[in-house]
Amino acid sequence: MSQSPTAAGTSPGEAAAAGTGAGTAIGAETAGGEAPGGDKAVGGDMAAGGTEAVTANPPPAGSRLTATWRATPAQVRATLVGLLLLVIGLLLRRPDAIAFAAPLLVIAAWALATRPERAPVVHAWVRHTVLREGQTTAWTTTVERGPGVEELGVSLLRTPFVRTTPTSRAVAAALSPTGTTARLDVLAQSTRWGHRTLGPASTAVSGPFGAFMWQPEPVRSAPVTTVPLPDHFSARTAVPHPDGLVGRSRSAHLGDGGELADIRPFRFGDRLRRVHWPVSVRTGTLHVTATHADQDSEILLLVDAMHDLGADTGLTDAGLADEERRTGTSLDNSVRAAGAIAEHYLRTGDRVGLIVLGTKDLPPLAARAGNNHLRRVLDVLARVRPGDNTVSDEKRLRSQLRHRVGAGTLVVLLTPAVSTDVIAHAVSLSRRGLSVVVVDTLPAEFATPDLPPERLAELTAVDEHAKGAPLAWRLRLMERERELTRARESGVPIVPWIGPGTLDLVLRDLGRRARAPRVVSR
Amino acid sequence: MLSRSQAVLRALVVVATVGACAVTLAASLSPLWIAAALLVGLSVWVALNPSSRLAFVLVLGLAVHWLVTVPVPHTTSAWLLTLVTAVLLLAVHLCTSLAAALPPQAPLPGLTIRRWTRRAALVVLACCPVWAVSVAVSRTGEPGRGTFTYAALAGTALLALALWLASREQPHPS
Repeated sequence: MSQSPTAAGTSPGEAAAAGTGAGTAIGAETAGGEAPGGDKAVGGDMAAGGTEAVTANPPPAGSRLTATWRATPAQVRATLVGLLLLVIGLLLRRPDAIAFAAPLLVIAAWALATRPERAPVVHAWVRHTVLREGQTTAWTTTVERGPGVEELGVSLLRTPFVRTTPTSRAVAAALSPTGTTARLDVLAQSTRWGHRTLGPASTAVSGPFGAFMWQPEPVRSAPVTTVPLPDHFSARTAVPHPDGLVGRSRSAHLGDGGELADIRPFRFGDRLRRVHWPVSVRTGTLHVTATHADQDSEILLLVDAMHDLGADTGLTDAGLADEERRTGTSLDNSVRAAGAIAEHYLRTGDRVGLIVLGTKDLPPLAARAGNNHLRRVLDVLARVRPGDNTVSDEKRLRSQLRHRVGAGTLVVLLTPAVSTDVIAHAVSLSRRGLSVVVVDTLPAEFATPDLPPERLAELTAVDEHAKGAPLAWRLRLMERERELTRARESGVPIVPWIGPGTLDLVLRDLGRRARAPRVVSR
Repeated sequence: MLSRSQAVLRALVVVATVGACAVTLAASLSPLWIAAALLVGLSVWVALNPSSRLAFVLVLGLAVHWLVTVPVPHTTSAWLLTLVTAVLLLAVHLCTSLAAALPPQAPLPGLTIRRWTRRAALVVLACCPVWAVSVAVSRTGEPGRGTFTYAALAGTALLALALWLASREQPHPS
């Protein structure tokens, strides 16, 4: 079996994850969501399924499958039953037994005479290794026509959060005598962020009468990274403390910028182009315009992955633009919201950092700017896994909470507010003089004490049939409400995630508060 | 979930088995109803698991059922029933083989169906001379001769050896 030892991914975790699990990892075409030949991942609805659905592209290196031809039970049956009936007919003088044996022996002899002599050239690969939620890639299998190669069948096992076309995940094709290559595509639409490994897929090539079959070991795809599809988000209010070098956020300091701050008398060193002539003529002394400096700011996103509350449904129907169809867990909300906030602020030239709380093997992402950094943020978000609520997770969380935060950083904490440590951390950051906003990502339907049993079962570690489950959830909600109230009283604004405008009101309040005198504990 | 064409194909296994049993019961002097019922039940299992080795038992069982319960055919009608049973046996074998060759959820390609149907017809045509000789031999009622029997057995053994050797031959690696 030929293997592709590497997954052509973009992150270290991808290469490490390649080849894990059952089956053998096969090659993937590209890391960028776009194949060398130029066929892009399909967004939204799946366009087609079955054979010949994707434009022709050469298979990547390392995607060839190997196996040997083996006689099938059908060939054994035809041969043995035919011979047995022949012997019976001869010994017992039964011509009818010979009449029964004749077709079977003809088939056995025909299959032997036309048996495939060479291994077919079969390639299997997944066409993209990076997708966005809702985008579609294809599991492609090609077989070159050779002597005795007649039918090709491919069957994939179900992969969570992957919608396939055809829905049966199995396709078959017959090689025509005139054709050269048969190509089978099973389209796979990733409906949830994270790493998806398609397969294992079984491939089988059969010869005449199904007498000989060429069947390699089931293979898995290289991990397909599905980056979250950020929610829609925009903020019209500037962040409270822009203190970087160059950006588009209005700083509190005076300097070069576009927004008028004051008109003041001319001082030595002022540029002549800043002279405000109407006021200068009216007052008789030179006056210049003073502006607020345009600076960039630093946004630190803290994603609380200690808990994942809700049912993992992924994107439901294909309508990605239809917000009502999007359901998800608290972690889904956190990840998509973090992606949206990062995308918004990186597009406006700010620097965004990311720390995922409670997830192991995900180092913090230092604040950077630019489109490449957005790709990095989304890639890290795609690798988020919820914690297991173990002691080691708690220890890891405490160590992660000892992170460095620069002065003037806007900290956005995305959390279902179930972990008291995380809320306490937000309060402590606020007391250090930082601007902190807590975004509550608990799905609204769970924030009620009267949950029906089936919804309770969707919560982590809650047994549907446990008598105390409703009471436990009610107590947890009361604790949550108490912690949130304490945080609010400590000056930490808490807002539910509503998409565009989520942060506007609180950023405005934080901006006013930033200009007011206050006592800060260092 | 079976595709529709696969479901039809597997239903054909049961239908052909039922047909073979019905013909056997019609032709037999002392029908073995229990054997027929067992064979039909087995055909359902084989239809659900066409790659199972029990398909071997099914095909052999149908032939043995005939041989045990039906006397040697001498008349034209008896031979007609024999050949119908032979064709039904062939159908059971081919349907089982095709069902096992491709994924059960995948629809059968039209080219595959046409190719297998055409080849089945060719197999039937190729068997016609053998069947004709069998009918002729049974009608002449020649007494058995040990020499011919031993020669035929030796020929069968040679045929089996040839098939075995051909099956053992490994194909080229690539």
